[in-house]
Amino acid sequence: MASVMIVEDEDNQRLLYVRELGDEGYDVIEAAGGRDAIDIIRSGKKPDVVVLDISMPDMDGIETLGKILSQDNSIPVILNTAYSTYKDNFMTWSADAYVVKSGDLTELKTKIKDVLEQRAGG
Amino acid sequence: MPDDGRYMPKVLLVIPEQDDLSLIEGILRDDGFVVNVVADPEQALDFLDNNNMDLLIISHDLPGTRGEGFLAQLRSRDRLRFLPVIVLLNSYDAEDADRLKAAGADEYLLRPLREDGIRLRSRLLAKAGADRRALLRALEEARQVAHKERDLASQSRLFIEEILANISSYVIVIDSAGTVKFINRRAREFFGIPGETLPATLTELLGDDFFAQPETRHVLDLAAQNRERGRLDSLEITGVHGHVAITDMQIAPVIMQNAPHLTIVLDDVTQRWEAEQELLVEKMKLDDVVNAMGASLCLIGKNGEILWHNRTFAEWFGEPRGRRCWQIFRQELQKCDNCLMDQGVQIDAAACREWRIFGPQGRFRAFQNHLTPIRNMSGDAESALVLTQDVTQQAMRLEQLDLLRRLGTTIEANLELDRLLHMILTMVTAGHALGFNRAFLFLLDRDGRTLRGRMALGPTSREEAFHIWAELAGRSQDLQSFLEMVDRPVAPEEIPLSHLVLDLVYDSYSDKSLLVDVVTRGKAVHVTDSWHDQQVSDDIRQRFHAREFVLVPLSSKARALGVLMADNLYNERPITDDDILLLKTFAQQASQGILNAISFERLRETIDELNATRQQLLESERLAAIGKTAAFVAHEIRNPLATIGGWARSILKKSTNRQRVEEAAGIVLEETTRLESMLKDVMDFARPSKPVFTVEQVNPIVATTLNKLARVINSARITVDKKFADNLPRVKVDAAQIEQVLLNLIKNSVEAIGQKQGTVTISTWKDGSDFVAIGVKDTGGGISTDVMGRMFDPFYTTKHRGSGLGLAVSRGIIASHGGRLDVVNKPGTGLEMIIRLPAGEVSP
Repeated sequence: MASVMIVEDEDNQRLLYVRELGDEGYDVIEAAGGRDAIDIIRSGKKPDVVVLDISMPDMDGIETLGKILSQDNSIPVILNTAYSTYKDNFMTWSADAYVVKSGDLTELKTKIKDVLEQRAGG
Repeated sequence: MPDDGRYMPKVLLVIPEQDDLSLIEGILRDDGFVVNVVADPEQALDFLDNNNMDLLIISHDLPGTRGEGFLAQLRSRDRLRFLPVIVLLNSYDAEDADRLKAAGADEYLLRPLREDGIRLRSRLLAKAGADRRALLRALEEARQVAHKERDLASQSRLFIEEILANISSYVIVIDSAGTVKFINRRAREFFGIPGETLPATLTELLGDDFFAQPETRHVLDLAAQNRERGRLDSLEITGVHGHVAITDMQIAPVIMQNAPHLTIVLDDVTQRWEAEQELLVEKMKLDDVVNAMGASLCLIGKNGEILWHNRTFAEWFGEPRGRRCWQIFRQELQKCDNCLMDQGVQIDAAACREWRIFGPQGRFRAFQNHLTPIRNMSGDAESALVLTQDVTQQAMRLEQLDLLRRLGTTIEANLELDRLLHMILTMVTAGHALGFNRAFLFLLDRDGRTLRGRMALGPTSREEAFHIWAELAGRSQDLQSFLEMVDRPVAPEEIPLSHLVLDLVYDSYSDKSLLVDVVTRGKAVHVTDSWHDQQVSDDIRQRFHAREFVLVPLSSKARALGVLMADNLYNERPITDDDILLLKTFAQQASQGILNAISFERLRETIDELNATRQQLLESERLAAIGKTAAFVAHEIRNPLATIGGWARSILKKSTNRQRVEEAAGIVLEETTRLESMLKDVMDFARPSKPVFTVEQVNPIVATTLNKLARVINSARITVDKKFADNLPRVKVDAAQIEQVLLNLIKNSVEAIGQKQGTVTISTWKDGSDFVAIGVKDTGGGISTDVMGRMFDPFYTTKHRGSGLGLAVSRGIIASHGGRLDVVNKPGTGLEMIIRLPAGEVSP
């Protein structure tokens, strides 16, 4: 089963993703912030896809995105944010997808699936 | 001789017959006589010349002569004329007896002598002799007295004649017919009458002209007919060589040689008369001086009565007519309290006092009294000479100088333009000050081009003018109280006269008007006859109706401000050069004040504009913040909303999984609470609640906050250190808001310390004289410079779940208290946040 890394500082949200994506059958890797995520990836635990929040206190999603890609640019990254405005930031263009946070996780799940299929197919 | 002290009569005997001699001598001795005996008549005369005898007894027959011969010799001597003599006869012969009697014998005794006859006759005659001698002595004394008196009388006469000869008066005595009976030496000299001769009549002496005066004639007639003394002064008489003298004439009736005469005494008073004439001229000159000296001079009695005054006195104060000095000078009904006269009576030097009489329109005349006591012989002051000088000009100048000085200070204190303009116009029209009837003020607009009628002061009609002046005359106010009375904010529209100029507007660049000329040229203009003055336009003529007026520029540092116009429409008092000079000086001062007020007004306008701009800036900042808020809210709300929504859907999907439902519900609740809290922060920031100020002590507020946090702060890890200063000034605060700020700061500190051990130090102190400070210091390691720069930005947070509004809201609250929220950052050690609140009064 594919593994999905959730990089999210909001505990309740992260837990929601763990539960929902777990229900979908994904192997969910939790990271409470950018640093966490990079540490995990460096330790060799490479996820099939990363769902990355942008607005985070110590290291924001865009910085984390850069660091992940510099570590391993084969890892697909989906930016998951409450702000639609980050779309204008060209740094976000290097991400594979951009999802605006919502109570309805259908879009996120579809994007994860799409990204995973693209990778598999590619 | 008897020793009983009786007088012993003395007798001389000249009896050649020895028997007779012995007999008589014996008898007389027995009878108490002192008896002297000589032998012959020669010895007898010799003896009698040297001794006083009471009786002489001789024989008819004497050696060498007969009794009558001796008697003739004897009686020829005055002393012996009355000496009683008894002659002894041998026989009676009638012829002999007659002869002897004629020769001066008193008695005779016939021989033979009889003792009783001798005794009787001797006694009688001796007595008679003594009496005669006494009589003779008395006579002699009387004669001597008479003689002496005769001497005295003659001496007196000589003396009087000497006096008459030498006195400077001319003395003439005439009889009832006018014939000159006597003329003294001085008169002779004067009239040229030679010694011993007499002029025929008084008319001849004095000339017909002398009697031409009816009065002279009359006095002379009175003296002649009624025997009255008379007197005539200052008569002119002509002497020898046409020498003229002025004389006072006295006429006195006298009796001379039992006939009525007149003594005429003429006193030459020419010198005195000349001196008097000179004195009179001098006095007239003095009077002229006294009257023309332009000061009032009077003599005041003890009770304030005017004893004498000069012409100026009457011109200034009217004739005294029984008025007392206080009525005249001060218009007082009673003697003044501190009467100069009383002081003058006591003091040695002249007393001096200034006083004023107030007239219409606040005008006054100032006088200065110099009082010099006039003392009598015993040194008491009975009256006083009062010199009164009109010092109105000096007093006016002083007042005006004072006015200018005061205007300076008034101007400094008076920055409200309308109020200042009213003050300026008041000074121009106040009788105390410049005393014009009306004054008009025109000011240039801010553009320096438009000249506008701004304000005017004065009565609007003659009737009002006289009414006001009459009213003012009743009140003798000084300028100070007058100015205080009028010093109030006045809008030009409130003053009726202002409406005469408020609609007047000139374009100083293009309009031709005298007013514009004065402003642009900066020179005063004095129009004496506006009806015929070419430079006066009809509009001014018809608007102001004043024949004479003056226009003075208002300018400061070569910057034209406007023009001041003044006239005397109602009392038509001519405007003097002095008036204009004073008005110009005044206008300079006033201009400075107006410039200040205008500058102040403009400054205030600028400040208002700045304030408005600042307000706009604040508003736009607030709007920007709200925009930012919207963006943040999008994120900050979307996050929890997404969480809530996700979990809610999860519940729906897994409604049978109880564990999942409980977990989800808990999280939804938590997120909802978080949302509410955030919404409050946002609301606090977007629309901060208005502080409700009360005067509080700082320490109790801090203590209350700490109590509220007591359960939150983990006392095992975090030590709270309190350092409260005593006697802090109170502060005006909204205690609830300050608590909110403190909660924020303390929470931040606790969070900064995190899971480590640390100390939060809360201290209060007096910061300088103006602030009370509250410090919240932690040992949380401080913050980075980057964070420091943004820590107050709204929605900036370093916290996992912060709204980023805490410090922004805190800073807003402290700012609304007029205070500051400062940061002292020590990277690696900790952070101190300091609240500074403006100190109120110091509480005990």
